[in-house]
Amino acid sequence: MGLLAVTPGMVFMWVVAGVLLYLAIVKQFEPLLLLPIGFGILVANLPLTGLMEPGEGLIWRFYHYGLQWEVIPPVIFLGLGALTDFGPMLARPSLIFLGAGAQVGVYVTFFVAWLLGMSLPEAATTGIIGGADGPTTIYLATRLAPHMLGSCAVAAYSYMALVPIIQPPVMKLLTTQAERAMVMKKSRKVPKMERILFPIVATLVTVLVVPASAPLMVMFMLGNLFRESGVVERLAGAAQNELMNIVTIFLGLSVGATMNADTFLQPKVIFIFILGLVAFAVSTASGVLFAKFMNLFLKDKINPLIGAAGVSAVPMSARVVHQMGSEANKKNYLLMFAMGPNIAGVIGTILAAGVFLSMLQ
Amino acid sequence: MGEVLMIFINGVLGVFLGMSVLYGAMHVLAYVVKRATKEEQP
Repeated sequence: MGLLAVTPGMVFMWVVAGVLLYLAIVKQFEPLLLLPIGFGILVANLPLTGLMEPGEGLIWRFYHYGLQWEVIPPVIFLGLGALTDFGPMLARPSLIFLGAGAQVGVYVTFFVAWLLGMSLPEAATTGIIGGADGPTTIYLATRLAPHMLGSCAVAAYSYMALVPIIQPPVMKLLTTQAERAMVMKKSRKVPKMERILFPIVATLVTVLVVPASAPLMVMFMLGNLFRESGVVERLAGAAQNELMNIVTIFLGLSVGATMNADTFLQPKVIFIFILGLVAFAVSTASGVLFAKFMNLFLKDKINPLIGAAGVSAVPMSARVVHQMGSEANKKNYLLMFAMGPNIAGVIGTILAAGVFLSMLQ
Repeated sequence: MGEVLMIFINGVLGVFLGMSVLYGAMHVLAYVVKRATKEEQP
């Protein structure tokens, strides 16, 4: 009987599952992921179910064929690409460097994690949390440190929901009132042809530079081409809606189900959560500081707040930047400017993950 | 330590290199599209 096989570790994990379900349902913290993850944790810590039995278990099959076969994260990126508007980034190309600047936080956290005793693959998986990109974090964890998959995913999605709390203190610390109030020059309009050609050009360019980024980048850009071409609305619609929703269900459930008591109740997990928070803060700081550095050379100055939007929690970071800009100057409308680095940050995180993979696998 | 620093440096440089090449490509793309649309206009 299952009741006789319950362990204290399992009961603790039921509480963890309850916390995530509470955050998802009541507080509405990233519910699309935290709800299935929370439920996955609950069912993975029920004894004698065989749900995660290798070769046989139902949820093990979702995990094995979806994640271990590296299918689900690229398919999620197909949907993300179909949802993404690269217009703000194309209107002012220099903003893509803010997406790169924020990735410095990923590598700083990687370094700190290694100093604290993690192996290189574990440190890389912890560092990528700072990219604030759930599917990339999950993809990298599956490839480099599968035993950390659940913890890193929960940390990434929890901190993404907490961006309005984590980022503002860092942004205020690194900018003056005058800088926050800076109004930016209006960007140009982007022609349709440019929007259509961009995903093709971006695929060629980024994959030639960092080939290991191909699985995620190719699907991201294909989804965007579906959207911008305007001739495959059914495919774009399916990618944005039905496909994205279906794989999100399998993703959340499988990720949660990897978090059994044995893998989660380790001292390393506490480090993951602390370092994940550090990663977000340092990425925010590096984005803002890089924006200030760019202003030394730019004729049309950029409001340094938008550097924080290089942390690719889309569109939450951009909204936080806009809100802080409005508080400093009511006439300031930073949202569309902030979307540029916000989206560039997604590309930056994919490249950062690609470099980790090429050096550690 | 050496290996970690190599990954750190390669990582940061790799991301910036990728973005730099993309930046150049975006400018070329914008220029090409601008020229193409100008030629179409009577």
